[in-house]
Amino acid sequence: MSKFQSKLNRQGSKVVVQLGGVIDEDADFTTLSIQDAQEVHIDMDEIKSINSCGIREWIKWIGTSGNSKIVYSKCPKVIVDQMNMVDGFLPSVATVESFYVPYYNEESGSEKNVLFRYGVEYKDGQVQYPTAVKDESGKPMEMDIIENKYFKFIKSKA
Amino acid sequence: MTQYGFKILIVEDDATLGDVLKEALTRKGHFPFHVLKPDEALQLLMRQNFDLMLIDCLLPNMTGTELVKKIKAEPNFSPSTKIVLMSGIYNDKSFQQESMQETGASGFLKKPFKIEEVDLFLSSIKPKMVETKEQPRKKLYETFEKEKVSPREKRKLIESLEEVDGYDLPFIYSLLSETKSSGHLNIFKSTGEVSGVSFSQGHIVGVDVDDQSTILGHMLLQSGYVLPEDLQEILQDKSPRKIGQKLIDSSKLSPHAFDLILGEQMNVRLTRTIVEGQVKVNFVATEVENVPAAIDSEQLLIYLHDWVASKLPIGWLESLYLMWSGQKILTTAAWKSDHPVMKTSFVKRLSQLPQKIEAGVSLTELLNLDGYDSVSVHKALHLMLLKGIIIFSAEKMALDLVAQRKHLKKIQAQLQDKDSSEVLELFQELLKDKPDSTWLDEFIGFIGPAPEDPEVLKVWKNAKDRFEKAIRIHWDQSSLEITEIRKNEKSQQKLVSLQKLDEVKALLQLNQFSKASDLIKVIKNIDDVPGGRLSKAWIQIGTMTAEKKAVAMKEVELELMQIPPDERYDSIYLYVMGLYLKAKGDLSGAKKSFEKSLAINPSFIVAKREITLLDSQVNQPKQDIFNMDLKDVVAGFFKKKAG
Repeated sequence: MSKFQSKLNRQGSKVVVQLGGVIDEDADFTTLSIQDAQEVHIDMDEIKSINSCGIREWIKWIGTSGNSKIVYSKCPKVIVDQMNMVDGFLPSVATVESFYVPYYNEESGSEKNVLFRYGVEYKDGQVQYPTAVKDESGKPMEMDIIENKYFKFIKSKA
Repeated sequence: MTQYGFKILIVEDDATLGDVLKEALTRKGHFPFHVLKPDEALQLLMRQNFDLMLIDCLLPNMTGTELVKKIKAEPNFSPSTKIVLMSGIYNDKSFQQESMQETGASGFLKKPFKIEEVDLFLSSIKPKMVETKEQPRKKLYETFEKEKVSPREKRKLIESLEEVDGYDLPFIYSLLSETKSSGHLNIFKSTGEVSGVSFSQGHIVGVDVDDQSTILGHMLLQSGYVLPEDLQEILQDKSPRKIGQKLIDSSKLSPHAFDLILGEQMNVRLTRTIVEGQVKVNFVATEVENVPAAIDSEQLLIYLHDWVASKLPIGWLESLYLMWSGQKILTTAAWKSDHPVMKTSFVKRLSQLPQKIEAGVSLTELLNLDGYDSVSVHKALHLMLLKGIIIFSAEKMALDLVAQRKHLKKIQAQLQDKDSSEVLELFQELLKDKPDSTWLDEFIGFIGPAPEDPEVLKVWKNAKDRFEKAIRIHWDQSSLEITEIRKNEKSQQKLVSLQKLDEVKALLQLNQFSKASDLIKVIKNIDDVPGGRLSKAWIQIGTMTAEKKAVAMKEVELELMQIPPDERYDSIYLYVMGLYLKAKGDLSGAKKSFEKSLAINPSFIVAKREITLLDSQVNQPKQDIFNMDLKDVVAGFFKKKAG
């Protein structure tokens, strides 16, 4: 079985793409044609990792969408990092509907990813932090990221 | 503001008056800038901040009050900057009050005024808090002062990194290996190129670079795992299988040997990732499969040595370690007398280095020792720090008067032949991420407070003045412009250097060492030119005399050690290695090296010549000229060579 999983669903002029697994040199984007779609919705919930070859492939693929409306959703940390760092990874026409923020409790070592949603936890350059994030045993958790760095893409989209 | 003066902008269209004011403020130890026109002031403000601005009310094209309003609207304007208006014409009190109210200026000076009146405004300026940005790269190097850093802390440090120096990469690779990390380190160059290094449990299992040229054939030949004729035969096979697979399938290469070559190929690719300038990095932690050709920590140490030796410029290392130069070097729990680092060439070159470190010594003190050259000391310590067997103490060691004078004289000498940009470049690591208004304070923090001894004080003042001059020139000119000009100059210079080096190589092939030696001396920054060190080594071997052979061989060794791995799969490198082995007396090793050189480039005539020479030496019976008949000796000298 391929390390990269993808599924494309056409709904009229809208295309919904679900991606998962590992995006690397073996990831095949040629089957995911987004050229003619007016709107491309990319669900990234199941993406586990991306390497440099995968980044190159992604930029090539997303570039084929032209001026279509692009929506990224459920972006894991590995994708948020690339959006913040790599020109063209998050095209200027794209918006981010939701993304994950890692949380951590130092005492117990517990980790959790919290989904931040547009209009709820963030909007137009502003982040509205959730009031309290707790682990399974009720212990308070802290964000396990550098905020300035991690939320950069939100500010650049404001 | 610096501890030693304020940055002051004078906007005065009367050139004489402006110059007099500038001179008077300079004498008081401040850093004044004088511009004649409002637009010059606005341009300057785009690049830097000031503690105080003295603005004339009557200026060409706009009034002083209009200029102040524009200045305050500038995004770069710091609210802590004091603004004082000046005028010799508008002197009635109501005008003064009105313009101050309108602009929010802190005061009004009626021209002519005494310089002491400016002091009144300066005395009210409080040192502003410097906004400190989160500096993950700095935190990474702070581990050089910490005895214990947990693997999680190290991993978090790597994950927090964004912009680093290309020369930081060996340290990052070492940390990822040491913490047994799994995942992909993605590297982004400012040119848009993306590369990546994959780790599996700390082993390097894949390197992806934009430049995929493999030089695999050269590597196979140089390793001796494949014979030239076998490789030729395989290259003629046009089936789509990869060369390695074809060689293995035809039993011309063992799978294990091929894995070793693949590891070496990864080294060459890793070497290509270590570049000058800023790169962005991002580590994606994930499970990655191991491969047989993986680079383990033992192998990585050898490569680390290679990279530190050949890729990290001494100027960069000197600048990096300036901040720790006065701190005592401490050993960590990982320190062992038989640690593999102790066996590396740079450590071995320095007599009794481990013992000196155990006894307690600072970098400055090491550099003052006889035979301890800056290249070897910095590179040996860098390796030890990368492997975590030493750290620096948090406090500076107190230097006695003699050591302090020596230390200051060394700094003074370092500054002497450099232009202002080079001076600032030398201290770039110390000044990085710090506002330029604090640079002088940083420098003085580095050289220490003014000493009491008059003789040492003289040296201290010289060094301080030289640095201060460099800052003034940097501030006076547009630093952006300078950077751009220097970049262009550098690339042009590189082209000229490469052309000249080709001439040097041509002369060397004709054994014209003296001419080549003269020509190579005029090539600027020869060590940074690809092939420069190799040509230097070739000249050194060619001009070596029996009396100075021991010293010259050490120098040749140092040059050869600093040749990057990606420049070693080349016929000239193998040829020079052959010459070096021949000079060492290892004739069979030399012959092998010449043969490999010829295998890579069959038309490399000088390698062919050396093989013939070596063959004739081996075939000739040894003759004891001291006990031979004189007639035979003379005949031997003039005898025609057979064939």
